[in-house]
Amino acid sequence: MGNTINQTNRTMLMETLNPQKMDFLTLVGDVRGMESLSDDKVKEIHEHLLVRSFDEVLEKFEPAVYCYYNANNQKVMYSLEKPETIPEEMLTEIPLNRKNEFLNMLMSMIDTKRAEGVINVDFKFEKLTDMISPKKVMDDIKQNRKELQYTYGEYAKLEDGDPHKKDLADKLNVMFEEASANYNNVMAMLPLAIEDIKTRLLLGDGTEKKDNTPLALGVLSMGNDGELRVLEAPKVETTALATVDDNINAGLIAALKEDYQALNEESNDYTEALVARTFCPLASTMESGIDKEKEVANYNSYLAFYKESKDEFIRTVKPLIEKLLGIWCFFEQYPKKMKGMRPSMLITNQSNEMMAKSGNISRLITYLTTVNAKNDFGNTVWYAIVPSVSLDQYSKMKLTRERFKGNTAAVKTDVNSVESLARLLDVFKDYEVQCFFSYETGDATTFNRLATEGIEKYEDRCAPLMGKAFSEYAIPCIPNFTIIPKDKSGVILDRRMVMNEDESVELSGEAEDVMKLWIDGVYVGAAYVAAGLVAAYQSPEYLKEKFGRGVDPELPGVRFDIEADDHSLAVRTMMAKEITGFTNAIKADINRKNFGFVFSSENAVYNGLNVTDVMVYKARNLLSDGAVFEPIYKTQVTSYIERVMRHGTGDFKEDSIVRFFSNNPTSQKSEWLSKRENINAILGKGDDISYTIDEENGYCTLDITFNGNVKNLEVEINRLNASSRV
Amino acid sequence: MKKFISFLAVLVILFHISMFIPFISKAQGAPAFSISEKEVVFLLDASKSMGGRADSAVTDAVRQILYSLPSGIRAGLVVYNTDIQGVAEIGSDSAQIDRILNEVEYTGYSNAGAGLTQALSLFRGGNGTEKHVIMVSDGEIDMKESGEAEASREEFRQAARRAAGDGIRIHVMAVDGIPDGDREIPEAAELSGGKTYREGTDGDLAGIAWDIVWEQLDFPRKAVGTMEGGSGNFHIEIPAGGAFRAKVLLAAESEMENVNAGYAAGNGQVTMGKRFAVVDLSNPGESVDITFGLKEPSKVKAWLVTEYRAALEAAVEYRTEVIREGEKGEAPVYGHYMDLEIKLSDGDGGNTGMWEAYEGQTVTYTVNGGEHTGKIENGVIRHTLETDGLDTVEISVRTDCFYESFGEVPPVVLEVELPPDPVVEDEVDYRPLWYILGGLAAALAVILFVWMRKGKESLVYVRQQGSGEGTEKYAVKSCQYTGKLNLYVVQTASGRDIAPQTIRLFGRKSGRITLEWILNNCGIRTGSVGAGDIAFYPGPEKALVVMDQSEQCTVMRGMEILKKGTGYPVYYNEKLTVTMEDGVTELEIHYRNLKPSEREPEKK
Repeated sequence: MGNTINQTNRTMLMETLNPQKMDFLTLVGDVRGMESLSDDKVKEIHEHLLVRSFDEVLEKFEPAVYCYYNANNQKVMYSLEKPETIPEEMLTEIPLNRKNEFLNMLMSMIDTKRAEGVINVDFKFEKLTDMISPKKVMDDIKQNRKELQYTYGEYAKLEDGDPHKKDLADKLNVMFEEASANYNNVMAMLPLAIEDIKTRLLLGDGTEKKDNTPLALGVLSMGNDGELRVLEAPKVETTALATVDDNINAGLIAALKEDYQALNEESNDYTEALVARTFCPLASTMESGIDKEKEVANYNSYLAFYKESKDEFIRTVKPLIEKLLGIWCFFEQYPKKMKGMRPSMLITNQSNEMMAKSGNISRLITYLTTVNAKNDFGNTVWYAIVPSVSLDQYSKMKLTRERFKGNTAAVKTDVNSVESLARLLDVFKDYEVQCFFSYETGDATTFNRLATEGIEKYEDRCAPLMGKAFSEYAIPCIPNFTIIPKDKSGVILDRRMVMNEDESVELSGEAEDVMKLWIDGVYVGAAYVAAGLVAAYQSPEYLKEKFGRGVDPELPGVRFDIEADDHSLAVRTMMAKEITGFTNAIKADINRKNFGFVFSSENAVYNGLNVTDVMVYKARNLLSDGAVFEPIYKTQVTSYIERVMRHGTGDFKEDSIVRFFSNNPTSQKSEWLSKRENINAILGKGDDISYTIDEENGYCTLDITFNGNVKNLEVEINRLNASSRV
Repeated sequence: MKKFISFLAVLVILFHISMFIPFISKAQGAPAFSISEKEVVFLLDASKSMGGRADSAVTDAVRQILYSLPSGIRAGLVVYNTDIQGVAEIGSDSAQIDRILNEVEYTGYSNAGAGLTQALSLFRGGNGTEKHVIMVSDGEIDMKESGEAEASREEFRQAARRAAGDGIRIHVMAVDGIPDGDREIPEAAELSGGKTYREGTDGDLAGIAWDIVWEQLDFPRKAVGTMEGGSGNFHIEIPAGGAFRAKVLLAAESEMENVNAGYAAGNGQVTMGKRFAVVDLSNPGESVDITFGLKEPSKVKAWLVTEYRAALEAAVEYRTEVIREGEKGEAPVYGHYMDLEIKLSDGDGGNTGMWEAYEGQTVTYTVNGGEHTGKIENGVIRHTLETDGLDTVEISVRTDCFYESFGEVPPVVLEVELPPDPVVEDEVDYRPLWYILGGLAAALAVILFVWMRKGKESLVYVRQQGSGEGTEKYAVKSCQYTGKLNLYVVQTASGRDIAPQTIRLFGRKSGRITLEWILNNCGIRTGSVGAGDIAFYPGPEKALVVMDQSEQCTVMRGMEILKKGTGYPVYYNEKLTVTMEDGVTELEIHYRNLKPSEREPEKK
C-alpha cells in the first residue's frame, strides 16, 4: 500500500483583500444541483485565488487604496473599495505593494525587530516610523535621482544605434516607471514640495541651524488656479552635483517633463517644474522672484495637508495593511528558500460574513466537497484562518436589511461575528478543516494584556463555540501580535516653519508646531501566525531543518506535537519576542486549562542560544473532555488517517480495511509503525491503532491511541453497490 | 304574595293553665261553595207557646245566622203571632233586624199563614237569586177560633205551595221539636225543598243554626281552627291585598264570655251571643287576634269568611302556525291561535295574583260559552283557542271552588286582533345545492377511506436510479429514517438571511413527513410557499425518498428535476434544491450520514 499525502497544509483565508478582484463566491458561481465542481472550475479558482508567497498575493490581488478629493471640505479621501460613483479620472489608485512606504515600513519593522531580538519596550519604533515622513521620501528620491542622472548621462553619451544604448534605454524605462509613481498624483508630490521648499528656504539644510544670510530663492506654485501655488526660481544652485553636464540635464529635464505631461492630462507648470527640479535639481534655471512669506505659508499649508491626508490614509488602509501583514507573517513562517511542502493559501477575497450567508455557504460546501471529499489530496484544504473575530461572544451576522432600527451599539464593521464563525465551523467540521481564529486586533488582545489579565477572558469569549460538534475544528489563537504598539505609534512628520523679524526663516522649536501623526497601533492576528507555523511544520523539509535527523522525508508533520518535549523551542515563529514573559500564575492557569493556541514570549535557551522568537505554548482546539482541551494534532492525524485509509481501501471496503491494518509488513499500519521513531511519524511512540467492525451498522470504528489517550474514528464501510439500491 | 300563599290562616293559640292541648284541623280537598246571590227571610213565631223558653236561645240562633251572613246574602225578618208583629225588609241591616228581635214579645196565637205570606212578599230578587225562608217555630198554627186557625193553615199551605212554585225554600228550626199532629209546617218545608231541623233530634238551636248556615246557605268560608279549653286566643292572618271584608265566626259548645278582638281594619265590630261570636272587619289588616273565655271548657270552632271584589284578567299572545303547506306558488294555510293566561286579581292592584295559593287546583271556566277546566299553574290558567272566525272572546270563571268570596266576577271580553300572516318569500329550490354537497361529502368520504387505507399500507412509488421511467413500489413501514438533513435557505422573499439548520431524521418513526414540518421544526418561517406538498419517506438502503406533490414548486435532485408525484431516492451526501411556489424562496437540503456516536439522543 504505502499511501502518503503530500499536501497537508493548504489554508483557506476568509478575508477580502481587493474587492475589485475576483472572489471565491463569484468564481464558484451557481451550484444549484451540483454536488461538486469541475476540474476546470477548480483550476480557474486556484488561478485567481491560490497563492504560495506574499509576492504572489500582491501580484494576484493587487491590493490598493483609492484616493479622491473632496472640494467642499478641501480634504483628501481614501477608500478601500473603489467608489463606483466617482469617475475613473478623478480617482487615484494607490497600490499597496512592497514599494508602499507604509507597508514597507511595517515589514521592515518586523524584520528589524526580529533581527534585533528586542522586546517591544526596548525597540525604537520611531526610527522606523520616520520612514513615512517627507524627509524619508525625499531621501529615497535623492538616491533614485542620482542613479537616474547617471544612467541618463550614460545613455546620452552613446550614439544612436549602439546596442548598449538600448540596454540603457530599457533600464531608464524601468527607472522612469518607478519615478513616475512619485509624480503621477499630487499627493505623492506633496513630500517633494515640502522638502523642496525646505531645501531652498533653509539652503538645503533640514537641521535647526540658524543662518541669517539672506536667501535668493524662487517661487513655487501648485498650479495656475491651485491653492498650493509655489513657484521656484533659484538664482544660484550650488551642490555637489554641479559638475554634471548641463546638456545632459537639459535632456533629462525634457524627458521628465514629457513623461509627466503624458501621465497627467491636467498638468500644470508648477508641478511640471517641481518634478523636473526634484529629479534634476541642478538644471533648473528658470528665472523667478521669491516671496518668502508666501513660501512659508505654503510650506505650513503643505505640511498640514500632508499630515491630514496621511492620517486619513493610515486610518483607511490600516485594516487592509493588517491583513496583508498577516498574510506576510503566514508565509514568513516558512523559510523563503526552502523547498518541500511550502504552505499555500487560498484567499477567498470575500468577507467571512458574506461567505457565511445561507445563500453562499452551499458554494463553500460544493468547493470543499470537490477538494476535500475526493481521493485526490493535492488541493485538500486542511486549515482555515478566520481573523478579527468579534470580542462580543454573542455577535450576530448583520441583517441584510435592517427594517427596524434596533438598539445595537456601534459595532466594529471590519470584524467577523461569532455567528458567522460558527456557521463556517459547522461546514469545516464536515470536511475536516481545522479553523484557526483570532480575535479582533487592538490594544485589548496583545501579549501585554494576556500577561496581565490571563486567558479567562478568551475562554469566556469561546464559550458559545464549546461543546458543539464543530468544537474540535475551532482553534482560538491568542494573543495577537503587535507590530507597532499604540503608545509608540506617533510619527513626527516635520515642524512648522516660521519667519523671524529679520525675515530669516527657520523651523519652529515650539512643541505645538511639531506635526505628528498617530498610527494608533498596528497588529497582526494570531491566527495568521499560528496557521503559518502549523502549515510550515507539516513539511518534512522544515522539520528536518529544525531537528536534523529523525525526520522521515515523506511523511507530513500531521502527528507533530508542538507541545511535546522541546518541540516548541525548535519550531518557533518568525516573530520577535514582545514581552519579557508571562507570570508563573498565568502560565499555571494556561497549563491547568490547556486552552487555545497560545503563543508565549519567554526567555529560553535552545542548543545554547538565546531564543528571541515567540514560541508556541499550547496548541489546543475547543474540544474538551470536561477537564482539558484536545491537542490539535490529534484531529489532524485522525483526518489524515481517514483520508489515507479511504484512498488506500477503495472508499472503506471491508476487506481492504482488514488488509490496511494487518500485520503484513506491507500494510499501511506496519509501515507507519516502522517509522514510529521519527519526529513526523504518523503513529509515534506510545501510539497505536486498532479497529472494530460493526457489521450491523456497517461501520468501522478505529481506536487511535495517542500516548495512552484513545480517540475514535468512525468510518462507514462501503458495502453498497448499484444493484442493491432501489 | 307569600302571605297569600299561607291563605290558610295561621292559628296561634296561647294556652291558659286550664287549657287542653289544642287540636288544629286543616281544610282538606277542593271545596264547592254556593256563590249565587241569596235572600233570606227569617220568619219568627212569637206566639205564646214559643215564649216558654227562659233563655234567649231562639233569638240567639237567629242572630247567629244573621251575623254570619256575608255581604252577598241579604236578610229580612218577619215576626208573627196572632198577627204580624214586626217586619224588616230584605236588605235591612243587621242592627235593625237585631233591634226587632230584641223587641219580640211572645204572646198570642200563631198565625203562620199570615206570617209566611208576609215573608214571601218580602223577596225582591229575580230568578237568579236563591231565596230562603228560615222559619223558627214550634210547629203549631193556631188561632183563637178554629175557623181562623183553619184559615191560617190553609193560607200557610197556599203560601207554601206558592213558595215552592217560586223556588223559595222554607227551612224550619223546630223549637222543642214538632208535635206529631202539626204537619203543615214540616210539609211546607218538604214541599218547598227545604229542611226541618228539630231541636233535640237535630241538636240544639245553636248547632241547628250552624247547620242551616253551612248546609243551606253554604257561602265560601275557611275553617281556620278548632280548639278545646276554657279560654284561648286565635291569631288569624287575613290574606292581604284587597279583601274588603272579613268575618271570623266562632262557634262554641258552651257559653262564651269576654270575647275581644285586636285588629287593624277600616272598621270592626265584635258581635256575640251565648255560644257564638262574630268579628266583622271592613278593609281588614293583615291579622286579627281574638281572645275569648268560656264559662265551661268546651270546643270552639273558627271560620274565616273573606270577601273580595275581584276582576278577571286575561293576557293574550297570538300565534300563527302553518296548518297546511301551500301548493306550488301558493301561500300556506295558516291557523291562528290565542294563548291565554287567565288569572284573578283584586281589580285595584292590591293583589294581582289571587290564585297563586291554589297552585295545581282545577278551576272551571268558560270561554265563549264553552266550559273548560284547567289547572292553576304559576298563578294562572293557560288556555289556547283557535281564533279563526272569532271577533271577540269572552272568558268567565267559576269561583265556587275557592275559600273566598269574590262576589260577582264579570267576564272579560277580548277583541281578537290577529297579527298579519308572514309574507312568504319566493321559495328557493336548494335541492341542487344539497345534491352537490351530498356528492362532495361522499367524495370526501371516499378520499378519506382511500387515504386511510393508503396510510395503513403507506406504499410509495420510487423511481429507480438509472432505470429510465421505471418505478418500483415499496412499503414505507419496512424502512427506517437514517441520517440527517442540513438545510440552507439560499434565498427568501424578504431577503433575510436564515441561519443553516440541521434536523436529525435518525430515530424518527417511519411515515411521511413534509418539508413544511421540517421547516417549522427548525424554526424557519417561509410562509405559505408549498412546502407542505413536498414529502419525505424513509427508503431502502438508507435512502431518503422525496416526493414533490406540489403544483408550483421545483425540486431538483442534483441536476435532475423531479417529476411530480413520484418518489426519488436520495442517498448520503446528495443534495436537493427546492424552489418554492413563490418562485423566490430557495432551499438546499443536504442529506448526510450520522456516525454511530452521533446517533445518541441529543442532550439538551
